[in-house]
Amino acid sequence: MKKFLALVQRDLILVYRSANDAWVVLFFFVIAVTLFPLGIGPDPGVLQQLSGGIIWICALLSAMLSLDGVFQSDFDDGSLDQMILTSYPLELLVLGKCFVHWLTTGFPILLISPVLATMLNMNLDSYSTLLITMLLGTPTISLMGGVGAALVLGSRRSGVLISLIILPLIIPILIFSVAAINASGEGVEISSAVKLLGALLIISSVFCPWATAATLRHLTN
Amino acid sequence: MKNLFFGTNLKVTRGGRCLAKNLEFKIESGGMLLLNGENGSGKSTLLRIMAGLTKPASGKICWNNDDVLDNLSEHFKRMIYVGHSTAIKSNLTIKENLKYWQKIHLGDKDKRDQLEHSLEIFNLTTSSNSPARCLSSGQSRKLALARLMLKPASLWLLDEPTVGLDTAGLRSLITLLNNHCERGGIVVMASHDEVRVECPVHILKTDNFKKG
Repeated sequence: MKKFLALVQRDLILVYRSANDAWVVLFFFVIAVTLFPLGIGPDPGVLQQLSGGIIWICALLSAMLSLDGVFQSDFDDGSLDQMILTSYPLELLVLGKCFVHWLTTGFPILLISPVLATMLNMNLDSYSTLLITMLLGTPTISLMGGVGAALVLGSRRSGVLISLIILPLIIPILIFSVAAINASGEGVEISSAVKLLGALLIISSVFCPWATAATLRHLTN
Repeated sequence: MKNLFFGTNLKVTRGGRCLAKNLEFKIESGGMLLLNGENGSGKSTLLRIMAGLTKPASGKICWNNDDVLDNLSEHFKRMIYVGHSTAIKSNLTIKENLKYWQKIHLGDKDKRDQLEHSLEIFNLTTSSNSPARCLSSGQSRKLALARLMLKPASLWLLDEPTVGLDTAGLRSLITLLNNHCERGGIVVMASHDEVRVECPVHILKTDNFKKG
């Protein structure tokens, strides 16, 4: 456990000291959401209908922005080799890196999403659902993103490549989250969509670190 | 306890190209294996194979008759690998870099006084709270080597450790190597420079095993 915490602590310090990267994601999210009312007109009815989808699509794209850096610097400077050489499960270290990624991208997105939801005139009944879907969905994006980030290590244009690889995996999160938000706006039962999101998170937290670690080991081979 | 580190019938490949085949080496406790050879002859790749980071295309590496690949976790515990890349985070201070390395490799057993001592040996104490991005390449090399003092290990794998070192740094490295071999440790080092140590040195020329 101490090793896991050592890695998390190191990465949090690194993110804090290179503050630019962490803010870029949040600014992009805010700007992207803000563009929608400007682009599709201020009609509150239309905005309300689309609010769940707009927020979630922008959250998805923002969270994916910073994925290509997750393992790149460690791979470049030899830290990844040293991580493999600790006799500690690489899967847990990968989980630590995905956790830090979520804490510095998905979590701020989650915190600011209700504020942006007011700008899109989201139905008041949907706010709690928005937060629940964000809480379950954004960590899943970080976990799946870890797999993509490992797969594209060392290639150019890695940002685009990651999006292409993991977008198909992430689309179910988008569909279930938006369905849940829209359903709660109409007063319909949302538990099945939320349970599916929870299941995706649980499966990802087991499968993704394992797949990512296997990819990283293969790449350093 | 006497240890034996050896490899048989090794085929070293990189990027699909075979660099060396039927390579053999054998080194006992208290000795040093010096890897010599042209640039590109596979010294670094061979060190990575010895570290267990890369699987050899054929052949095996054994520690006391146990194949290293059968129990990589045990192998990682008994060795320190200082590769060509220094694994230094430029946004962390020198001390933070060492502390992190200590924690990630030793977990519970981090020892503060060993950290201070390792900084002293390599003359890094005065700049220990500066960010690592301020280090020169020679100082970065010293920082990478300072890790050798932080973890008890029987096997040291060093890739070009002398690059950029000044006279004092080289002296400190030689002292460390001598102490390590005296305690029964094994060193495998790839280097173009002559390193005058007191322990028995065996030389392995990777060019001799070149294909064709």
